[in-house]
Amino acid sequence: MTSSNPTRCLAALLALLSTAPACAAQRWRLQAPTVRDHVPSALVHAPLPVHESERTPLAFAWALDPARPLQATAPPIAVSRSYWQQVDGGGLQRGIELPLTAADAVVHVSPAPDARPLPADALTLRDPAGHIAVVRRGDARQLQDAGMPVAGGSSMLRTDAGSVPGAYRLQSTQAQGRYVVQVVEPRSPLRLEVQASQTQAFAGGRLQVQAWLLDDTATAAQRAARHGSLGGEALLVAPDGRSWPFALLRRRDGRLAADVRIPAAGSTVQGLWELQVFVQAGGVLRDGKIAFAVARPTARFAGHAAPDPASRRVSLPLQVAAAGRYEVRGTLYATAAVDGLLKPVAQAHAAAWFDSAGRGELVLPFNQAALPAGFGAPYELRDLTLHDQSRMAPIESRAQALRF
Amino acid sequence: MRSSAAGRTVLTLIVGLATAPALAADVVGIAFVHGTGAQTNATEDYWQPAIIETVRQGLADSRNHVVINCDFNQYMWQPDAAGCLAEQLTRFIDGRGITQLDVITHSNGGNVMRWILSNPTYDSRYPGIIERVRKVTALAPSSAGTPLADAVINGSSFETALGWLLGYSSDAVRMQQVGQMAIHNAQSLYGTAGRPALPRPFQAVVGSDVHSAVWSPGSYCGGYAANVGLEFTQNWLSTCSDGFLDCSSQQAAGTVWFIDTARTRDAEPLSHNQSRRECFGLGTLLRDTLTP
Repeated sequence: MTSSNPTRCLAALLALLSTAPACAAQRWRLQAPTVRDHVPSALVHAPLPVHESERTPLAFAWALDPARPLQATAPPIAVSRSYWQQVDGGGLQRGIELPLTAADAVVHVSPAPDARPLPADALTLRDPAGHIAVVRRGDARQLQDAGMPVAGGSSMLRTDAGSVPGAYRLQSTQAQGRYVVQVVEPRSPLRLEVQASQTQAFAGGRLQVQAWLLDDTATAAQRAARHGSLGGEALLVAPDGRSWPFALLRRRDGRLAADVRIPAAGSTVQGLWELQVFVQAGGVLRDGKIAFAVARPTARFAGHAAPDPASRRVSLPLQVAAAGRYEVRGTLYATAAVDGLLKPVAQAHAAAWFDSAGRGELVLPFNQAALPAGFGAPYELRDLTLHDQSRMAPIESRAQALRF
Repeated sequence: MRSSAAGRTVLTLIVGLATAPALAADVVGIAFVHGTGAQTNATEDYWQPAIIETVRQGLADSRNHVVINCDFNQYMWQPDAAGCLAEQLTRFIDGRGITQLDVITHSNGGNVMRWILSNPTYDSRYPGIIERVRKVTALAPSSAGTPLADAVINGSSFETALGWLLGYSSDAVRMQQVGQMAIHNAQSLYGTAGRPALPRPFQAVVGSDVHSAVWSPGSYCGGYAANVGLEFTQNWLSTCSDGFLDCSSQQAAGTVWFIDTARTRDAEPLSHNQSRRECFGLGTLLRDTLTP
């Protein structure tokens, strides 16, 4: 990578070549953010949550093993071999169709609070030929004994290892009220994969999501049929339960995509947001979901830093728009004398309470972790992140922030 | 506004990657940290006394143990979860003069402990705890979540008049959905692949299967009904699981100390219920780690 540019002191440039402290701790500009970085363009005020945050300034560092390389975390891909649907009692009394694509499927029926509990033996599941297809039944008590906190009155059925794919029929003459019917097919070759463009977003910002169906065993005809009928929708769900539907648009490459706008108000309830995806193609169903963090941009890095190569302390000025507790964390890479390569040597955190909007500063104390023998300058500060600890959200992240 | 003042900042020194061996003057203690749920008597209701009795026999002073009772139905960072754990650990450390603390967690307790280790500047009690932790032994930790949490949450859409359709599952269940744990591991927790290591060793014991045959004595250890239930919940999981967690989740953070059958008596697997009970010599294996 190229080095960051010093903004005030020309002599600081020499620090790349020398550890002379003449211009230590001068102000250096943070490296320009890349498309992978997450940087607020403007700041907003936000009220404090009801519960208290820590008020004591704290800093902490520990050594990392330079032989263990670190990797940037890509947005995770959710893989689903399941789907669920809400059904009413009348539908279950008449029987509902469940498309199954593999043997050993699990069917899980959960009653809403006002619905009649359905014991497992009150449910029948028939295969496409009309034969009873259940090899195993379980009730809520057995699942709860295992620590699975299912709703009271839940039941599960499992098809046998020889069951064939096709349209099955689930029925219960005792059904009354609303139910959630969930199908899990652990052995199915058909899977839905869902991935977001990023793991964090700003309230009022956007996020792209892609979903695609994969089936390594499908024939060309099956693939064509599924591609032709592929469709779906998505639901953005806030931690407080509010939700917003989004259309999934089919692309030429067979993927489904959505451009999701996060409501500007965000959510005052802590926790991650979810995007739930519901896909159907050629008579088969799959649902998946991904999670991500949403923050209101209440603070950001001021854009420069004051690293001291001698002590390995890095001061990071902040612009703060809302009172709260903010935390900076980052990884220090040092140069190995033996091969000149940069390797991770320390992790540091610093956090403090800020009473009001304005300017502030946090200092990463990498000097508190011993430098491994054979490592030294030049250093790089990577994976630099700013967290709003009061509102529990990551605000800013930079993969490569500074070289000094 | 008040910006941070370096002079007032509490700096804590953690040097080196290896755990220092206990010295003669060290006072070694053990803490037992339960999993999801709100506990008021975890000795009886979560662990059962037999395993605690076995493990604490490995201490020079067997009084130096504490059984944590907190509300781990909350998100791991909440005052009633990690805050409660920090309070009880700090009281134990200060009250008994503990200088080397071994923490034994089960299931989601591993996540709450990993939150403390990963977020030393979130709470002023955390640095003092981390300084004294010698290692965390995480029994069947839900480090990458569980599909069972997803199965419980799925379909529970929010309806303004009725609340959540299937009732509100706890925040801890929401957090342990596979997709949510992936984000927590990427943003606020350490120790998973490609992420910085934790400041202290975190070693997992992995449960790989469930036995519930009526003719097998091993099926009864820890409670037969629970093992039968775990055989059912195994249907949601991959072929290697303890009935509640896939092996891959249990192995996702830190290092693997052992996979159950490699060290248990008669190579019996530890179901998710048995990995917190005195089953197949587990207590003795844990006890023997207390001696440097």
